[in-house]
Amino acid sequence: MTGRRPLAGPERITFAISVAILLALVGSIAWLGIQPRTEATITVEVSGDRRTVGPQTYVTVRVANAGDETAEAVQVMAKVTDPAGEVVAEGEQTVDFLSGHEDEDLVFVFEGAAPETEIELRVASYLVP
Amino acid sequence: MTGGVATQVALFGDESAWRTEATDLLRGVAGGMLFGTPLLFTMEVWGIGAAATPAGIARSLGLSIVPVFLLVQTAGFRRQAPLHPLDAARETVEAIAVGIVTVTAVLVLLGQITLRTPAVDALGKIVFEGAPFALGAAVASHLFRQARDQGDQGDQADRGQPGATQGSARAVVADRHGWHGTAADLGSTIIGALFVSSNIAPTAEIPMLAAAASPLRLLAIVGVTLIVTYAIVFGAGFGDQQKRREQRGVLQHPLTETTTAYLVALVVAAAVLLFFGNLHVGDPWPQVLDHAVLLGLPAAVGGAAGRLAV
Repeated sequence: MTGRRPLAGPERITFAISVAILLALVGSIAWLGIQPRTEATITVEVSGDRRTVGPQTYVTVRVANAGDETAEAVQVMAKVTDPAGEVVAEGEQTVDFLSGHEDEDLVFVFEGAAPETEIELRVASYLVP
Repeated sequence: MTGGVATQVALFGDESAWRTEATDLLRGVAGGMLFGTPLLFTMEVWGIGAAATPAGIARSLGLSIVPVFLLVQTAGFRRQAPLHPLDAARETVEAIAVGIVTVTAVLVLLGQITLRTPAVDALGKIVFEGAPFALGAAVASHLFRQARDQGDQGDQADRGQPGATQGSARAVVADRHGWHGTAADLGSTIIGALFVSSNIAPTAEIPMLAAAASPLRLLAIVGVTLIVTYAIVFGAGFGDQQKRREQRGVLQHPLTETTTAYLVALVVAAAVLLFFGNLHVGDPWPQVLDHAVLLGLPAAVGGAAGRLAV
């Protein structure tokens, strides 16, 4: 077996920094691992003003995961209803990944959504990764 | 006083020791970029990292240490190999740290890790992307050292020393001066850029990254690409670096070669995106620009590898 090579000064410093980086990484993973983890809990709400351009109405919504576990393929449904409760327009979007405590902004575009209409949002489903 | 200076030198090393160390680390970063860049543009890896649990991340980190250790012991992260197992363990830690730091920087640059990214998501991405980088850091030194060793044998032939190979490296350098050398470098840049960017251009990653890229981020990507490709070809000690610096062909000063090769890589990136339908003739120029700059990073890294192989 080959003998050990003496370390130059800069190599010692590089090694010390490398160990610190690796310990920080392992420590962070371990800390996250011992935290109690809750199931994904997805909420969705309108996060901005409605913006109307010609016949189109743009609605920004925020999907958030209040839990710790990741949700995959989060399906968000939106419905525009008139004061009589009749559905005027519908939309659907899917968020690929929503990690714990992450949020994403989505924009729905509806045709003919008058200002007096209401927007109903709901999360329909998600995959457990 | 003199004793104090001697102690300082023993502890912190002299200037040449720092230069050697910087080159070794730069070679690790460059090797990681050469081998790990395509995976950085793969959204499935981002997804795997984002969906991983802390236990899964820890398991992957533990598993990635084994092949890195074996590669380091066989090839050596630095220049000396074979190594004592304890030295190999030390260099394994360093190779993994190089991978972690480099991958974190590139993921931040690409906007895959931001201040809004949850910690477990970021750690997952760093560990899953960092593993191939660490492997690249460990193996690249060995692979590109072969090219350098062959160059050294050519030098020995010039001096009439034993161990000489047929042909003369100096003659090759002379032949590579002027337009021939420039054409060879540009050709190998195109081939290397094509080789790497063709694997990424047909996928949805470039349009996805481009959609979220601000002008400031694009400028940062241009700067980092130029620095990384300069480091790979001229700073990391791969291949026949000294001979490359001695070349006197058109555009073959290190700075002009780096910028020219980058422009060539951008053109190749745009052409490959056009070929695969992720860009179209008549697309607005800002779209062409952000797509080309983003794919230009892996394309330029491939081009740099191509120039090393010539």
